[in-house]
Amino acid sequence: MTFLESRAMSETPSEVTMLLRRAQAGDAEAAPKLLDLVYQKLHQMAEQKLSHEQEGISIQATVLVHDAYLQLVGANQALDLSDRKHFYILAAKVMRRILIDRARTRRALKRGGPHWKRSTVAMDAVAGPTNQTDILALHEALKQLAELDSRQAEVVEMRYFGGYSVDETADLLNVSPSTVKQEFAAAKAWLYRELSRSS
Amino acid sequence: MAEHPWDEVKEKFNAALSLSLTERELYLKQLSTESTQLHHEVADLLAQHAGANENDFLASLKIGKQTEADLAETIAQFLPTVDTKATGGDAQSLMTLHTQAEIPATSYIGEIGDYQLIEQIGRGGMGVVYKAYQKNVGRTVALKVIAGGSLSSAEDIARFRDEASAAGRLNHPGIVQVYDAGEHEGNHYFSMAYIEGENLASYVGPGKPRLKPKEAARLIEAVCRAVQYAHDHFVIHRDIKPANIMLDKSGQPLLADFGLAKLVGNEGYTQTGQTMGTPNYMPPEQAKGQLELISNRTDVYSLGGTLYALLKGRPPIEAKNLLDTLKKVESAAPETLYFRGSQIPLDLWIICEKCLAKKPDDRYQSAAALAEDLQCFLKGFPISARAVSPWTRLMRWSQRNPLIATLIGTIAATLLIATVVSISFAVKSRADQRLAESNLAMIEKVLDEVLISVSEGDLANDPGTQKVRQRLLRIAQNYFEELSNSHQVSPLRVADAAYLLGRVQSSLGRDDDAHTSLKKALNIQINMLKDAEDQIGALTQIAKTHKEFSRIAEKSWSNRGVFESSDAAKQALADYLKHEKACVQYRELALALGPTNEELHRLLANSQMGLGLGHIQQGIWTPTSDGFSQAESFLLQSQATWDELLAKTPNDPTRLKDSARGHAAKAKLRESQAAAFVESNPEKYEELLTESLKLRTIAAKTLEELPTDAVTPEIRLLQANCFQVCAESQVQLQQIDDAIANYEQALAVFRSLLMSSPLVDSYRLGVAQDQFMLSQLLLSKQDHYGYQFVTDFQHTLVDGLTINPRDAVSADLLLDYTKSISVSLVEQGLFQEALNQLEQAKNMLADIPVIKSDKPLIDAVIEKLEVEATKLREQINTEDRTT
Repeated sequence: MTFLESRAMSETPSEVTMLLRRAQAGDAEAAPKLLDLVYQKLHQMAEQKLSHEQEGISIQATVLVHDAYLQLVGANQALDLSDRKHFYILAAKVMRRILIDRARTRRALKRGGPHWKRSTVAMDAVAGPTNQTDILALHEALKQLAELDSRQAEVVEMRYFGGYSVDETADLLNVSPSTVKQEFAAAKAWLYRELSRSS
Repeated sequence: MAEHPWDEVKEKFNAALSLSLTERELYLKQLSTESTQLHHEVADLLAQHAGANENDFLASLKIGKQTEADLAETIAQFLPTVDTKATGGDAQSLMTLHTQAEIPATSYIGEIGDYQLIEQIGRGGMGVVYKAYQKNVGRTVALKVIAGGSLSSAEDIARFRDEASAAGRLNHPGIVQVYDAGEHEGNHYFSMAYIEGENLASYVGPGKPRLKPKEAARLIEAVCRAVQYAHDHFVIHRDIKPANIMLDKSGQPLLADFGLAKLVGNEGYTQTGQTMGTPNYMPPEQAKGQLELISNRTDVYSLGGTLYALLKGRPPIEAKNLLDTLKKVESAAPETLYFRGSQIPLDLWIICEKCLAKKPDDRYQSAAALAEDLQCFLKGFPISARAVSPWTRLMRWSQRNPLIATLIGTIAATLLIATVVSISFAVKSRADQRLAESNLAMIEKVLDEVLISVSEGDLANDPGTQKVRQRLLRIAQNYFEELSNSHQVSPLRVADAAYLLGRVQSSLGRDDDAHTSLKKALNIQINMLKDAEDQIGALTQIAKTHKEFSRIAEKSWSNRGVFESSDAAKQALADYLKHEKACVQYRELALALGPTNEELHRLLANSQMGLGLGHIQQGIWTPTSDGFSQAESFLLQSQATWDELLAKTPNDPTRLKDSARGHAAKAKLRESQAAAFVESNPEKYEELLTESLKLRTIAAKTLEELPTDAVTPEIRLLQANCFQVCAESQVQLQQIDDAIANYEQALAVFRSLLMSSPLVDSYRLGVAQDQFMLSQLLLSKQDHYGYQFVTDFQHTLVDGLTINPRDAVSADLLLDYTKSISVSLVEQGLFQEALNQLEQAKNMLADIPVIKSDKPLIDAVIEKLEVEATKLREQINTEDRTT
């Protein structure tokens, strides 16, 4: 039995499912609760997953998100399409936040000078991206991009932080896959320039 | 500077991204003529996009376990690290070393701020350069510190700071990256990438090795691109010289030391007028301290000076001391550059001379223009700096097409040997006969591989090859005569050779000779038919010979313009139809014997389409004939075959091409039918035209589906033609914006064709025609880009006249086009603008550098333009008086 299958057994509506429905129905309290729940789940999952792995192994953001969905919602919960979309959009935003928090922690450590100890970074199991992107700078640039072109910023959030494919992103944002491709290409170039400038 | 609205930038960026690299270049070029700002934005984004992809930027996010090394890396990310970008992806070859270990305290000579000085590596006009280790980032850098360790004056500080800030904004693989600037206990410094390698000064001076001319040109071309980048960012280097051009380990040049860089438009402390820089490479305006004249062309001079020095081994201007040098810069010409027997190509000297002109206006307009010419030199294209002789043109052509050139060379030699053999040719033995046979086989090979394949490629009209081909043809012809009269070779062989000879003769415009040869071939082929073992082959061959006849006839009727129906043209059309019909008949016979042979089906469809096209012409000339309905039925038959064949192998390039041609032919039929209704039935007219537009669009789309390697110049031409005719129909249908878009497409295709074969007139005329139409259409919409296209078509045609001062077609078109633009402007009441266009054409013509005996044609056009201009001036005066 695979990891995914083992998690997909619950019959009753999960907490996330309820929260999603409430949020969709306009319940103001539901949204932050939902966010917290997804944040904790993703964070915890990333740590668990990585603690069983060897050093240097990395996992894809998208795998985390899909697993979180299965754990939080359950595979045989008949969620509305719009609820499902809501979750995935939310998850991408959460991933972004988790990564920014991690990066901030690390920057604080760096400011702490040469005396930091390995032990204090145990939390770093959920580390930053393993490729060379500076998450904080990206986050700032993305905020600027959102002002210029909010759809592009959203596409980046989905594609990069959520790790969703072009088709998935198109589906989530209700646009065509070719639009996603084009927006992502332009956004990528724009962000790359902004990041090169700032560094 | 106002930023272009993001949406527009985005749209153009995505459009450019969807194109192939060459098309993208064209697209950008086009864009730059429309809006510099927009072009900059889009080009920058494209560059960023390439950089992003190269560095896997935003590639799928992975979350990994943090290791200590990771953390160090992340920390380093918060510091300015630019070296990986500056290397263009090849971090190892670029000399920025990421040293992991710190340097032991004993091995460095001093410390400035965060930098441990390792050794002094240079001493410049203003500073000392150290190799240093930057502790917090962990990298080796070159650290430039003001000489003496203290500052001489506030002006020095300002200049020093300026250097750093100007250079710091530049981020280009051809420019040494500046990282950081600062002050430490009164020491001003800045750090830049540490380059392990030599600089170009190692190749200048007595006793030093010389670079090969091509290598020198290649290096300077690369430097030009970097300089252009700096100019685009408003930074002028002002001290380009061999010593400032570093070579990295992979041999790529990097421009260093923007020590005199000055922000364009930001005067200030440099006002004192003191001369700076290295006088040997300095242009007069700089030597004289005329700051107001310093421009990007100041750098162009120094780039030329550097190239000169690399070629000659010493700087363009040399004298005993500084003052003498400065004097010489102003007055003396550099030592004569060219002499007979020089190892250095004349073109390179001409390029140097143009850079080293005393007057900035006489130099290349930009570093990019210089780069273009160097590129032309390297690729064997004509350089813009001079008009070229036919012989040089041929040489250049052979540089571009080394394979075919070699082939022509070898085969010309073998043919000469064959001729010698044939003179002593008297049949004494079977050995002689075998020799004769093999000689004939060789001639066929020559005709087929060299003369025909060359003539059918993009060199069809290349004047550079015409002479050689004529000569080869003469040799081949003589030899052929001799052999075929000697009755020593089999008749079929003679027929084959005669057929090929006929094709070559026809391709060289010798139609009468071609007729004779083809007749000979046809007679033999028909006589041999009944005894032939391979009936299908024999029938196919006869059909081919008829096809060749019809090709010759086609030239006579299709070149006369579709509305001009002289008796000779009508006769040619009748001939054409006769031979096409014969062709169809023989192919039908062949097909009856081999009904499963797909190639036979294809060929039959091909000649059915030929018949269709001929009948369209008949319908145009003789409206009472049944030309159109005949055409309709033939085109239907051929289209059916092609659809069927294409369905079997949907991606076959030949079949895609056939299908496109079929659609284009059908479109032509509709256009021709439409013409009859222009006045009598406008609705019918529009309906037919709209249908033809649809068909042509299908044809164009089909051609776009072809894989890149299947796209020959012939197909590009077909494509351009599709776009052009579509645009023409759209003008008729008043769909002006669509027409503009199609003319732009056509222009892009013609331009790329012209770029690869700059001597083919038909490409040049295509470019000019599209530019003319675009200028007309845009001006009619009061769109000012129209003026740009006027300048463009004038340039295109003047280029044609520069290459060939006797090119009457370019001369006529330049006059006609310019006149008609001027007329339309007058109609809009824009008298002065109309006059300007006439004057502009006149000035361009007057600037063509040709010798006097070549001038009559150009002078005549100038005179006619002047007549028009005078008329217009009088008209303007009268208008002024009346108002």
